[in-house]
Amino acid sequence: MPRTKELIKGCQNGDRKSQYELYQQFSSGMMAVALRYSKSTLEAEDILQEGFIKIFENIKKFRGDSSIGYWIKRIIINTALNHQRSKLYLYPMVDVEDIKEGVNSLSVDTLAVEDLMDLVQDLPTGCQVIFNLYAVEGYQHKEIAEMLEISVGTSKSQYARARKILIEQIEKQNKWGNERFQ
Amino acid sequence: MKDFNKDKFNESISRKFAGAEVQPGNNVWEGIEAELLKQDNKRMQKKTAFYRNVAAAVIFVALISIYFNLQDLTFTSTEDSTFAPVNIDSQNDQKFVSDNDVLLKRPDIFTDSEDGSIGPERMGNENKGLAAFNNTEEENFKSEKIQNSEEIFYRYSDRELMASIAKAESIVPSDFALTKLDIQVEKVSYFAVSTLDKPKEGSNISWNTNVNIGSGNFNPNSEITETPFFSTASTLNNAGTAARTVGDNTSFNGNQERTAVEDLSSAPMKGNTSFTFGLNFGVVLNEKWNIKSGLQYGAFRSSSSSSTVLRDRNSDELYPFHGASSLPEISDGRVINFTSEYELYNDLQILTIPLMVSYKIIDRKFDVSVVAGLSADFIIRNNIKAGSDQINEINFDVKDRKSYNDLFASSIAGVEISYPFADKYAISLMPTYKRALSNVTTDAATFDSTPAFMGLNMSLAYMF
Repeated sequence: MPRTKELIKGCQNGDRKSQYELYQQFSSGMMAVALRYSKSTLEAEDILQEGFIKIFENIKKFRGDSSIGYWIKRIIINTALNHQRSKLYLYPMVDVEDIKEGVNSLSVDTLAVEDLMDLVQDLPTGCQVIFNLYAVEGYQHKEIAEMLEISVGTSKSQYARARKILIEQIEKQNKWGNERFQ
Repeated sequence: MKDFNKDKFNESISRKFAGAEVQPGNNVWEGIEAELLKQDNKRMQKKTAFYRNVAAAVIFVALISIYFNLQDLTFTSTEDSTFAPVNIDSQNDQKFVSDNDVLLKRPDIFTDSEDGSIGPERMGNENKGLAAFNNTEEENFKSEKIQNSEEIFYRYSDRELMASIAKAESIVPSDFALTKLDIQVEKVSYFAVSTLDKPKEGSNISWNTNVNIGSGNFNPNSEITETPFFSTASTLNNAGTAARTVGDNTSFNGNQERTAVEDLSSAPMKGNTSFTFGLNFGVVLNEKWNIKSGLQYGAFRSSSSSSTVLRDRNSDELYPFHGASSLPEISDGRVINFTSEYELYNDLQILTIPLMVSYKIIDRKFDVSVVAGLSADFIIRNNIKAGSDQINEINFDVKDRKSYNDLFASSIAGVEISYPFADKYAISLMPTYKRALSNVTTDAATFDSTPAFMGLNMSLAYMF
């Protein structure tokens, strides 16, 4: 997109207007990303602010190998991980095979994004981060382990724990919803 | 990102969050902008520091080169007025002379003969031989047999001489003696060539307009000598009261008044920005001496603090109590009141006729002169103002003879740094110090004052 290229060039030259335009273009999407990795709106805004500062500091290094949106998202996620790194609570290992795939996509699709966001935010911090990285961003456990400097087993167990909690919460919500209609 | 975690649950979650958007608060961008601004400022500061360091290095190099260039190199002849052969290796012996002086430069004496001898018949137009030339004469090449056939002088043009030097060999016949021309040898400057470019010093008269900015302490409260107390007329009141004492209560009233005056006199005085501007004309007496005079208008400002006012008993108006509050003023229905401290400003407007002499100590691209002189100063106006709307200001004009003398003399001293350019112009900077030679107050005043002024004079001169 020629307009985006101009924006990137402007940001690389330190043009404030271009920086603001880029921020406006991606801030709402990145805020949603930051919310998934944080416990509150305030924390998410901190992550967003810090993330965009890093984006503008490093935009000169952006070579266009990937899309600008993807590049920005990576920075926001890395910023979120740095925020959360110290708060990763380690849960006992759980065998992944014990987790059952009991939830169909329909029950999740009926949930509003905000509600799903709240459920994800309510997860314990370690689970929350790993669940986002695995289930939403699509990283493998090996990659997650390297990023968070944990073992692959811990990554798997944290994900399993998060999934279990989420499923329980979604089932509860679905049950309440059904009971209301009855 | 990978998308092969093919779990329906994960897929649905991922799909749900894919297009999610949440508006952040306005404070987020404000925080980002503030941080970016901070970073921009840091970068600017680094740039500024870099350029400042470069400028400092340039100035340092310039100062060092000026210092070394000020070391004169002199050319001297031998005692018996003949030129001894110059060893070409000894470069220090080769000098240049400024224009109008004789260039007694020994070129390289060389020969192409095997026995090393030089005879006039061998000298030709190929630039061999002793060269002496005078720039006031024509510069064309000539050959001239002046004395005997063994001594030949050639006149060379500058270029040919330089060419001959370039072609010179390193051998100088040791018994080769040359007769000195009957031309006075003078000390020379290494910058002789540059003097050719200097403006001709033909004009003796110059005009300059100048402006002088500095700081002065023309303040009437600087040296209060006595109180304006007059026992039967003056009254001391504390702030807010209208009590009046009459009669001979000198001891109590005198103490309080003395305190007020001492406080006023000891209050720290601050020289505020003062400026003068005017026209001077100068006469160049010779290369070194210059005399100038002119007319200057100056506004001299200073301030101090006071906690005393004069209250007019009839109108109840307040006026600043100051060192220039003379006896008639106090006795004329005004009484002294103590107040809270306020700023006291004194603005003096003075016309000055200076007479200054300057002596040039450095005559290079930048000329440096020491300046000294006297001036006659006329006080046009004296304004005393308080930093409070409740207190009226006091103006003394020419007709007011209460406290200041109309005319007083001052001494002036300074160092002038000037730069001539464009043949007829020169700009200069001159830090100056000016001080009244005597007390500028009248006998009726209750204070002494010998004002001083320190400033930087900037001027543009035009030389006729």
